[in-house]
Amino acid sequence: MAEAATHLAISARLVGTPVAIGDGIASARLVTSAEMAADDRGLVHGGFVFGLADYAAMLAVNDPLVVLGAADVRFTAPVAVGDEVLARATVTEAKGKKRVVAVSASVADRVVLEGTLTAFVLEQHVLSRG
Amino acid sequence: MGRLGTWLGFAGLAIGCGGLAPERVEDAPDEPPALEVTLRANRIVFNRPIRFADDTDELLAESHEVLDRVAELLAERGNLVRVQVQGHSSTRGTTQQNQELSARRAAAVAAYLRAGGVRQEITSRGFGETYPVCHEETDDCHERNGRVELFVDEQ
Repeated sequence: MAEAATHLAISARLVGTPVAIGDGIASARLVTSAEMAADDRGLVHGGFVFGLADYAAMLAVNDPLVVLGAADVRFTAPVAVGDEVLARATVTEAKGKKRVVAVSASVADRVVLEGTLTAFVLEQHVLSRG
Repeated sequence: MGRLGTWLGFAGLAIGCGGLAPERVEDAPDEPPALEVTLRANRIVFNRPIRFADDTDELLAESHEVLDRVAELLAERGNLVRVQVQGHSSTRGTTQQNQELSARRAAAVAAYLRAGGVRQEITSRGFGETYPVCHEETDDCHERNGRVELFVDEQ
């Protein structure tokens, strides 16, 4: 597996850990916890699932200066506290700074999120820009 | 992480919090599901796996229908300009064998689509056993990991 070159300071507890990283493809996993629950039934807030998919997408691009620009995703099934979510990402288009990344996240064989993220590889850190 | 522009995922986020019922329909035993081939975001999804003869890149006849439908979908979608065929393997066999087999299977699917008249640019890549979708040592899991996935790029 290639080494992660981006998002090195991110919280594994909140967005997961890399499973595999390759050229234009990556996967990451997240075991959901009680602090991610949106209600007393243990429904996991969609933002955490999105965070995992976003992380996988950034790893698929795997550039230190990558940022997320847009997302078009569907949440197709609920996630419960304790579920292990696996997100997979594939770069489908690379044109200039733009990267289009297909993402999907699953719990076992059940797809819980799928969509497209658009990322940009900048020339300098996004917080350094004037 | 920096976020530029509009985060369209926000609409989905609200839905995701409530959770939608899965779209999957339980199938009657011994009967294959009615074939569905659809475009979802940048992925072509199908509800039947693409199968090969054991340890070869020979497409089973039962999978021709799936790929024929894929070809039809691509013919209808002139805005799709490229297709990426990904081959993945189970963990049975050696890593090198799995890498090679997944690449050959992806190439076989790409060749079938080209022969079927698909006009889009088609590339194929094998990823071996690196990106599993499950980890159980069961026949079902090995079958799910040994898969072909199709991604598309819009104009």
